[in-house]
Amino acid sequence: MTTPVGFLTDTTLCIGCKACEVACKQWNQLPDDGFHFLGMSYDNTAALGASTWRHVSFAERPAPGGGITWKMMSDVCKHCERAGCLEACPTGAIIRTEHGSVYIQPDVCNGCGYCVPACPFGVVARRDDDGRAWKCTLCFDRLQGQLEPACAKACPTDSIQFGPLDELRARAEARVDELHARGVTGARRYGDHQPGTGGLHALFVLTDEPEVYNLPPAPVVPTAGVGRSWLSAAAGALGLAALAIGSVIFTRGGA
Amino acid sequence: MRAMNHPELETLAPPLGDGRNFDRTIAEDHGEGAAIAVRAPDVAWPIPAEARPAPDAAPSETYYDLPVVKAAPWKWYVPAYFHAGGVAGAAASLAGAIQLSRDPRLRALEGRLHWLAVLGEAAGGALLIADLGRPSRFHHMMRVLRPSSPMNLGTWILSAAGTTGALALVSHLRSRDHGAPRATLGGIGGAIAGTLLSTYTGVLLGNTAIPVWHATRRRLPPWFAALSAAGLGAALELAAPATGREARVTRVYSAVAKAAELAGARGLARSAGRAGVDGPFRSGRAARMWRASRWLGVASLAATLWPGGGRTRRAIAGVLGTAAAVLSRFAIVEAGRHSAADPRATFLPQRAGE
Amino acid sequence: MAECHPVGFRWVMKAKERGATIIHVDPRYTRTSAVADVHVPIRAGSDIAFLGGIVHYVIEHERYFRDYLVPFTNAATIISADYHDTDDLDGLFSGYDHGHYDEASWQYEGVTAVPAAGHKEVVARLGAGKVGKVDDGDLESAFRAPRDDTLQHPRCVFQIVRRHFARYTPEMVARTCGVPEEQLLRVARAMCDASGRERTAAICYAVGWTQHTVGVQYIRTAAILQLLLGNIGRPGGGIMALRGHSSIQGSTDIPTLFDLLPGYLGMPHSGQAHSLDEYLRSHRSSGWWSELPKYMVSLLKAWFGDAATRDNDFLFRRLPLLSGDHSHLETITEMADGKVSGYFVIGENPVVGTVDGPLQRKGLRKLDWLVVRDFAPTETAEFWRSSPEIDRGEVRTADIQTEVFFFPAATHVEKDGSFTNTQRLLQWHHQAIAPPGDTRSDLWFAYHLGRRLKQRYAATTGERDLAIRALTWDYPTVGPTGSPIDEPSAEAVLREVNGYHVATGAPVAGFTELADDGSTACGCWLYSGCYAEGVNQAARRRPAAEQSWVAPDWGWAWPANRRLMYNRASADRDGRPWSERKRYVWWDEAAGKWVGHDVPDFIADRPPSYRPPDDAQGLATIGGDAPFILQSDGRGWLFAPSGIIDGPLPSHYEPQESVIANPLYPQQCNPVRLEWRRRDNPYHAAARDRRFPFVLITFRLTEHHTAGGMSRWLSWLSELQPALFCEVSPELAAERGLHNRGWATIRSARAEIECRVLVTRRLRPLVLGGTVVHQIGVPYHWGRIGRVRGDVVNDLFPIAADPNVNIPESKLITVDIVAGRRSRGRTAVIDGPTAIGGADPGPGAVLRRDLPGVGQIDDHPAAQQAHHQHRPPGGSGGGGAQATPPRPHGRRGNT
Repeated sequence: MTTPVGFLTDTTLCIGCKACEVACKQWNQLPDDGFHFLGMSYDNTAALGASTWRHVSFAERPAPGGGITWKMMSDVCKHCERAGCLEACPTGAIIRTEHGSVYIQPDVCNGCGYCVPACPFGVVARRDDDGRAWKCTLCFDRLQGQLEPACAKACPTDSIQFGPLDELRARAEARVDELHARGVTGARRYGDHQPGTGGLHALFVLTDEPEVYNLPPAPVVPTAGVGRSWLSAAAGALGLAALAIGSVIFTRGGA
Repeated sequence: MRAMNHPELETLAPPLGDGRNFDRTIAEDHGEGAAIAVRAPDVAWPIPAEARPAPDAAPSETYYDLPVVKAAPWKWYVPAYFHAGGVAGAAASLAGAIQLSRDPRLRALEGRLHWLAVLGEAAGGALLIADLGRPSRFHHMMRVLRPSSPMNLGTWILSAAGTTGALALVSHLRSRDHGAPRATLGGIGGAIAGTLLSTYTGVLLGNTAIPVWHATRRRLPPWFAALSAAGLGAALELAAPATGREARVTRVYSAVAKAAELAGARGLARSAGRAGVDGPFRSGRAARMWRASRWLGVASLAATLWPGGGRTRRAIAGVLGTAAAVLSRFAIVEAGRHSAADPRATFLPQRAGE
Repeated sequence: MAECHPVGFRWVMKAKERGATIIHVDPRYTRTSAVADVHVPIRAGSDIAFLGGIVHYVIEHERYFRDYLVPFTNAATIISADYHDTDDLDGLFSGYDHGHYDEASWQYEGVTAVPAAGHKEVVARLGAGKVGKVDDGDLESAFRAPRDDTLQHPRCVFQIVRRHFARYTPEMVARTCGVPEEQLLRVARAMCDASGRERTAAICYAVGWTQHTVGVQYIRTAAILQLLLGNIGRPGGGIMALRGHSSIQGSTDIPTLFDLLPGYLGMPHSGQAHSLDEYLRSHRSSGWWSELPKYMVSLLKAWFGDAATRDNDFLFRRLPLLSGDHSHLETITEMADGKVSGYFVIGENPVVGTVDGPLQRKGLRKLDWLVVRDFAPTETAEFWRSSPEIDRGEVRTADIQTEVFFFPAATHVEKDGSFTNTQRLLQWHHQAIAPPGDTRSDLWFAYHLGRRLKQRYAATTGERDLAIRALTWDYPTVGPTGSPIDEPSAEAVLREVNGYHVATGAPVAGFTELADDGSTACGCWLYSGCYAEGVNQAARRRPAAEQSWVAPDWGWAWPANRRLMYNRASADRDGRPWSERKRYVWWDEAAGKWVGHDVPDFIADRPPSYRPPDDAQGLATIGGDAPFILQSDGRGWLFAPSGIIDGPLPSHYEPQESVIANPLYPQQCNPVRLEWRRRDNPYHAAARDRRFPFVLITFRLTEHHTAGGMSRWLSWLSELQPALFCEVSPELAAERGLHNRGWATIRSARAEIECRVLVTRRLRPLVLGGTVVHQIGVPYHWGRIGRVRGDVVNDLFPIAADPNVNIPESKLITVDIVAGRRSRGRTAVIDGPTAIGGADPGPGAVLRRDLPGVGQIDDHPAAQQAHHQHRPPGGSGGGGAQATPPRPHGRRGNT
């Protein structure tokens, strides 16, 4: 395995141009998702989906001192260290690549759809017409060719940065310190030390609570509690057995 | 794509195409997403209609009230499978208990249970395959053994239950001449697999990011066990003889199962309430389904306990009980859909350290 | 800038990271505002007042950069005693006469005429319908005008500017722009703090400034401010014109404009150009433009080759001549009047992108033929079967006789060529893929059209056809001979643009090698050097890491690969850098020449101490301390004695359609703006007529490209902004019952459109004195064809234009907005009276120019202003909607 790589998306540099969203669609040859006017600021694609692998959100918020702020963020698959989708996948279609990314093999996926609710970030989606689950591949084909992912390449302000994860972590930390020193008190890292998912391979620098960007504040990989769930399932199974045996035993007498 | 090359221009409408904006006669289609089959662009729309923000919605702490997590994309096949598989599993376990009792009076019941198990498992398998996005690849489920995936283990459990159930049925049919049920490999194995088949689906739901399922992940499997038993009880009330030992077994089994199911459901809803994610049980379509299933369950329990052994009473109990069991499965799946659509259900428990 | 130039905005973000303060002045809160340190919401059309307020601050607080100002600008120059300011004449400058200014009284004292760079005023005046005049004055004497370096003389430019801007106080700015006083002062202080020896501040603008009846004066105000602060010709300073789309800068340099020849040489016109000498005499001046004969002769040699000789004036007289205003706008109205028979539309979609769509379509309907070249069909190409008029049944396709030819065009990746963008940088692009099907490059089209024309005229003998017969048209074609493509070599064109020695064919190294004797040929003197040494300089792509921070080896910048124009000003009067931090170009005493990081924009060996003698001629008139070498006196002009048609100094005038009366002067609008008073182009005087009480401003989205011809067909872009919408404040939404995501109908005096509603706090009502002004923002990218469709916003606009550059005021008008979708039936306002809110003055009526569309002399703006001030305060939206008669809400007509 080569050095794990990933994204650092610095929202303080994002101008919401959506170049990442379009570059992603173009490079990966993704179809459009239809034309819907949503009336949600400049966001008309709403969320990450089966054929939208980068999505730019626009949150209009009142500014603390009056006026307004406009928070933009380019969202993407987090390629979690402990990935809910990967752990939930029954076919082994979802794998961890040599780049540390989480990849859905379209030739293996049988479209059970279980990875969809298993993702704590709502990233993976299944298209009904195609039948399979799709998401960001971290531009696996480009990585194989020593190229950075299309979104990072297209980002004009370097809001999306691509590189070795260790480097990005250090950069995120330094960036937040710098922003604090500059008086951007709301600046924070996201996805760096996230116990619930073992850390993310797509880090973010935010200036507000994660909820503002539609990010879960403390996501947990669902399979973290799978052992206990199985224990309670075993209890249920025993109960079922006891009920069966009991109902046979306790009705032995009589005519 | 160049409009001039297309006769559709006559209508001033650009060709719909597949929404990809490239001409496959010129460009290579090797992109990571080029394989996505597109029938209509809107199919990919990631946000369910009920989750779209209301016009003039007041600013909130969420992102336009859009969901954080995505609902399971399952169709009606899956809750139907939960019921079919659950009943089949419970049937297999009861058949196993009967085999252990070696009571000849229960031989007919054992036979019915084997049939129920095999049919349920077969139907369950068919439903699961039908729900797949790529049904022809159903066998990919068996490519790996992945303990972290309840879906994967469930496939193995269903396969085991199906195999053993079939064995048990064959043994039972071949032992026609013998009076008393006796323990067979298929029967006992099927019983064990059956208990797991009736409960693993609870694990399956619990191990998702859907708030209401995730918060109740330790309540779901036992409740599903009880729900399966209640479903079986109702089925037997419709199918088993009205008198004799078989009727007594059926009635006791049914009564206890229905009571346990009601208790389990109550505990589950309370547990969701404690986590702050019981919205789907309180309002909306899921809540209406849930409440209806509760009343049906109570009514069917009352019918089971009602004195007398009349056919009508049993039929009422069976119909009500089956309706309650099926509706419960659909209600819990629908609750998941509603829960996924509500961003607060995702945010609040995480903020509370759940 | 982040909205429309996201890639260029990369550098703004880098500057921000290095500590720059980003100030964004815009009526709307945009993507730029989101990352700016300060956002100033301003009333659209009041920018001169805002910038004037900063000028006022700079002068009154003595924050100007005196050591720069005195030697490098005309601040010290004394102006004629005949000059009178707007302060004295109720908003008019001296010399006003019937919608036209005579510049005689604006001149430097003792100088009859101070020619401006390129003499644009002579032709531009034609735009106002006047006949240009040949100025036989003393064209080389501007540098001898009297000066007062103490800046105390009451008639020195500095004092005139100080007095002119005295009334642009913070209170007045607040009342005019809706910008609170403290915010103006904050911006002014930030500008001043970022200027001086150690620092520079830059101003970036785009079409939000140019598309006004006073657009040129907006930029003039910015220039005055930057000159006062010493921010021109220095690294990190300047005024950056962000162009509307790719290579628009290039299309001005080698122009598609009616009044210019390549390299900003004035187009000759019929009243003047009887001989080359006559043309040259009236167009050259002191300073660098004394070189003009070399450029003109070389251009003629490039065009006409061996046929151009000294004896036949290099065929100068075969150039087409201007006979009046031939701007796009005038052409449209003449088309509508049936005076134009054919029309080429190449890479443009005027029915959507230019004002007054109904009039545009009316013009197209009266053509004999129309040629449209574009990537995909546009509304302009499809006007004959898809238009509001056809929908309404006013026009039948069967009745339109125009023959339309649509040619599919190659994209930039399908052809070789260059872009010249905002920063004057030529960047070459190479063909990546052959154009598919019938698509061809524009170069192919022009070349083969010319070739066929030459074939047609080959046998003619008439003198008038000589221009076509003699035209050099020998570009080699690339690709296999006889192949259907037969693409001309774009590099060969670039080579001709660069220029060459006629005798040897060797490319010239730059415009200093050009001669006026016919020994050199050059397609555009400003671009000379772009093919120096026979190398395509525009194709250079040396990475940043391998060269200096000025990056001279990336592409090629005109003129002479200078990355920063007038960079002599980056050194002080004596040629020393202003500071170590801002060192850029300086005088090297030992070497006896100018040196630095960039190519010095100055005569290389002219010492800072050089002063031109009184009898100096040509380049000798440029003093060693005069950095602005294209100006006849070598100075930056705070005060423009010529070259600007609507006044030597910027004054705030209200837009053609405004909801308030001019708070600064009794003169409401620019007195010399261009109007087309026609029945099919009605204007609305909203300051008095409240039927259209709101201000509509148009803007662009990052997701779409101008008129949408390139983006509405691309679903990856269309899905990002799928519908035409209007941005309204929650206050206006509540007042008019508009709902987010619902429909709204917007009406102007010309047309009505429907759009979706986006209620957002990014727009907020402005309070001017006691008046509330609501502004509605609408992007204009949609039309009737493509994957996503919507009404054409520019249908709402009239034609009214800036007199200097014939650019229409397409950024704002007055409108009304109601909830619901528009009517589907006939719209009465089309072909309505010329005056909404007043009597139709009838054709040929003489109107006061300051009363747009209203022919009532007694309704003088001054009286109007008094009335305005006496109105009870606290009026509702639109600055007095109580004057509006009750009007039914909701849908109109058959719904």
